[in-house]
Amino acid sequence: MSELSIITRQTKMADVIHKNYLLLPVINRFGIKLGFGDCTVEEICSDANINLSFFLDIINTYHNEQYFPKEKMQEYPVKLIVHYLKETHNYYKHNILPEIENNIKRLIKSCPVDCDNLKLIEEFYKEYKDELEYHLNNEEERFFPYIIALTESRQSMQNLTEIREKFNFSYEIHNNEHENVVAKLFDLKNILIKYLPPTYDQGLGNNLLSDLFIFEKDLNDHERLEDVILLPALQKIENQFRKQQ
Amino acid sequence: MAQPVIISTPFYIVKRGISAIIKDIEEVELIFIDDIKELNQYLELNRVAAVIIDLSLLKNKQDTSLFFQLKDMTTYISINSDADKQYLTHTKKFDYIINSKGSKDKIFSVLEKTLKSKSKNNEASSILSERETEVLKLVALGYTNQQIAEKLYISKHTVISHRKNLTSKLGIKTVSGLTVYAVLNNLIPKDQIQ
Repeated sequence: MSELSIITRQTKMADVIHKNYLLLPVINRFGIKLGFGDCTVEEICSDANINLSFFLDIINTYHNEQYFPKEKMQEYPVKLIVHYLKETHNYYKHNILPEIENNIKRLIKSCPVDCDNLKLIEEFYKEYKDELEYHLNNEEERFFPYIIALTESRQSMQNLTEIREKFNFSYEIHNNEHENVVAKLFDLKNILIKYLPPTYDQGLGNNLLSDLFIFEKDLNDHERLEDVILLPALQKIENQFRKQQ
Repeated sequence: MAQPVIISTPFYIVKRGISAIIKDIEEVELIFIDDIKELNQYLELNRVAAVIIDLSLLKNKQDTSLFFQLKDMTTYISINSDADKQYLTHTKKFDYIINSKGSKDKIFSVLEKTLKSKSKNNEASSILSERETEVLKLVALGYTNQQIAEKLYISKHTVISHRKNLTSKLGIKTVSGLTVYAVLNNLIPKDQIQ
């Protein structure tokens, strides 16, 4: 189990990346960049003014699927979680999504003849990307500010109604959008793996697929934070407001 | 595609134990649900290869009636301990029974039987039937379930059932994904996509 061991405050940050290089974009979201020397996780977090315990829980959750201290994570301030989630959105929107799009463009360029199939994939991806961005923006404009506004407001039924109307957040729409984007990403992977005739450069195809797998893993972790921590937190706060009637 | 298997138990140690044994046998997608109500909701909407239920999960005898709209594709396995004797009548409804005191070989052989035979079934049935292909074409062309039912003179319920089957055979869940598949396989011309 050594590769899945838990990362602690004494672990050297360099060893964290040696253990699991997929954590790089995750630590970037906290504003941490490469060039750690021999500094430990604790030292780096303290220098950069990062909540150490939250940082450890996030990277361990990401690193080891079995590690998910639900109760403990529910104790973190909503603002802290939302901030991390927003940084993750930025990473998706500005790094991963354009990169995947470029990978598909390169794939099309590498195809000597008869590339209609690849263009079909490009269109499918564009549709997926638009829907995902729409979903992420919806979260940033409705879900996140709604839950933050509730945590900062005096608890009363009237305030709940007002804040709710202002942000117009719907659990149902949120869940539907979410399910759809998860399913589409899965479909894209499976179509590439099983059905698309390989009329393109294989190395570029592998890059694309590997990006999709890494992205899917990242997205799953991200969504888990929302579904298991933030949405139940929202429901709990809403109920507290209702009780003040 | 790894077949989905649900493990339903309130005990962490059982969850980890069963997962570890299964991982030794076959690559499956494990889904953990530790609430009967949630389990039923999940089974209504999804097709899984097997459901492994810890009988300690049941609070009273009525609980079982819920998840026995038995689906022929699904194998139900129960995990029993002596304390579960009161539920013994229910265990008849299960395809296999694992006794938590059972030997390694016994537990292994039950799970192996289930998982290995399922994966063979899946391989054999990955080709679409004629009817499923018809439904797939119409889905890809943007028709609704109701419209497809009218066009093929079948009930909407049958359309939905065909859709579930073809989705599980192809491993493609969304309408856009099915459309791409249909075009790639020349089932519909590209210019007809809406």
